Amino acid sequence: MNNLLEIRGLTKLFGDYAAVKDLNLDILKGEFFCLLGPSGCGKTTTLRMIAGFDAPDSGEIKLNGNNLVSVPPHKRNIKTVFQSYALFPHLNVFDNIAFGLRMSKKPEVEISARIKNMLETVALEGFEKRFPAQLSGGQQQRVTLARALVNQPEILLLDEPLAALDEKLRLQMQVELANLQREIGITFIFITHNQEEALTMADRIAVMDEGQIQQIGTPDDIYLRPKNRFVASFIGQMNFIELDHLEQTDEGLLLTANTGLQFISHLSNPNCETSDLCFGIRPEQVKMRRERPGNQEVGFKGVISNEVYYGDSSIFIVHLENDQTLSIMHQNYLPSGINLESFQEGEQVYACWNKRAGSLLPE
Amino acid sequence: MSHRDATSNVGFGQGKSVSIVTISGLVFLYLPIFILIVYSFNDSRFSASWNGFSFKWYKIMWHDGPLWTAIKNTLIIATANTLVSTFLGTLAALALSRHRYRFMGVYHKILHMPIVIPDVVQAVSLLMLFAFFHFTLGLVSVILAHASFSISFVALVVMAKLSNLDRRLEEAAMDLGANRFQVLTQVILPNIWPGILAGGLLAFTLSIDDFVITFFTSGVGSTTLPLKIYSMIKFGITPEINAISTVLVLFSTLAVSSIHLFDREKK
Repeated sequence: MNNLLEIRGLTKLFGDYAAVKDLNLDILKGEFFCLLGPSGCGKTTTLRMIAGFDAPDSGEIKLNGNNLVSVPPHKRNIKTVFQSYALFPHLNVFDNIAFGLRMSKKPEVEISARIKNMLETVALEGFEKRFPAQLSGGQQQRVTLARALVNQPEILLLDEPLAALDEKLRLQMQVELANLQREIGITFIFITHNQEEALTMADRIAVMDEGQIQQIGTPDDIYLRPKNRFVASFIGQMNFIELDHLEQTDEGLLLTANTGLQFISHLSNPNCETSDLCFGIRPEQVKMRRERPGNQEVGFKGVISNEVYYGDSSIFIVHLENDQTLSIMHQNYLPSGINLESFQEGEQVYACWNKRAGSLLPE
Repeated sequence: MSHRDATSNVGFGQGKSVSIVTISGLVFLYLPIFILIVYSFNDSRFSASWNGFSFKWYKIMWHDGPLWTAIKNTLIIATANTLVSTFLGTLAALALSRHRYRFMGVYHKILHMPIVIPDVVQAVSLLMLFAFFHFTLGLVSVILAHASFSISFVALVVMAKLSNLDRRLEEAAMDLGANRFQVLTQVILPNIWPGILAGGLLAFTLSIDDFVITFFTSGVGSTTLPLKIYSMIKFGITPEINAISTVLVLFSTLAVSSIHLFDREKK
């Protein structure tokens, strides 16, 4: 209905290797959409097909219902922000930004006005006469953004635009980009291998691996309800307990790990092959206690082998019986400044989690 | 080993033996040219003895009609060759570095051929080609012959420049609405013109310099400066040749330094 971009059955082969396999995707008007995946997962190939730099072997890309596949890149109302910036070295900032407007033969008066506006938006007033080589990485990034946005595209594609920036600048640009997108309302398709970038900026995320989408959802969905083991391991930290079999009992699902651990879970039965199944639980969902677990909890005795200190919190590595290891996050103090219970390496504790916590993940 | 400057005591750029080798190398390269220049001012008819300073041979050169015809021919040929081979060589470079063909490797090897095969072989084969088509030997045949090898040099120089040009710039330009022709004129050419200029200058100097191929492919009335000098030598070496050579050295030195100056100003 208000799908701006519809991708159906998109496939791209490089020789025998399918970089993108039968990909389906709907992108809504005005959303900040993130394609997230490890390098080589096909996200950049997908982006290049949307931009028109590569032609798909099969499938459709529809913008407002019109198939784009045979439309050359310069006739698509889609603009790209390149990872390497790709600013024209022989043109100054003004002429770089004016490039697209001049190609579409806009009057110079309008070009000047729009560029002035755009430079304000990206906070680069007074840089018109500078050449790309005279700008810092962050400034080049903004010029690239301005050069694409000044054309008022229907979709802005961003190919890992923050990858080349240092940590501090990247965090700042994440906030700026998200704000900018909300302000101007242009649909963003953002490509990254950095889960943090995706979680902080996107309205919706598609996690990709091996040329296919593994899961699409809001950052919340993806983090809290991963659909499979890949998504769970790619986003955030996760403890995996490999399962041997599971059984429906009166108390709930009785899970038996291949290490011999047995516990009850109140998760719903995923009804699929147990052999491919594992139980995943995030470090912050597991608690350490000196006393026995409560009624609603599962708990196992274990020994703390390491503490990884992060300041506000620590990750404790706890060895359970039967060789199972768990990472457990422990808050070191409360916001009021009161220190919480502290644990020592070598100490014996109970690792506990709520019976409703965690997820059952197929391969 | 010398320890005068401990901070830069690396590499081979130091020590007495190194200076001796360097100086003898420079002497070997430049002493003949130096002697040639000195003897162009010799008042004597023969190069063997020094009779006193004089501009006599420059005056004789100035009034030597056939010599000026040869210079005129050389400049016409060099200019025409530069235009033709720069244009075609640049096109070849663009095609070979920006598109994928079947037999890509073959095209690249063909491009290198005129550089590696001996001049004599190329000269004879061009002569046979012209004879086969009953093509009258003259300025045009020399220009075509020069272009046949200059194109390769231009193409290689321009290709080197193109390989340093980020492909993403072209994609960015297309993304911003430029068609192929606009990508060429507004993005590729503005970024590679120093390479095209260098290729053109190379074609020009190759043309001025060439003897073997010109000798085989020129006809009546298309004698160039190298051919003229060669024929003069057959009638004995006079200091007029020294004078001509001195002027040539002066010109090429000026040309090279002006390019350097221009390059520096651009940066």
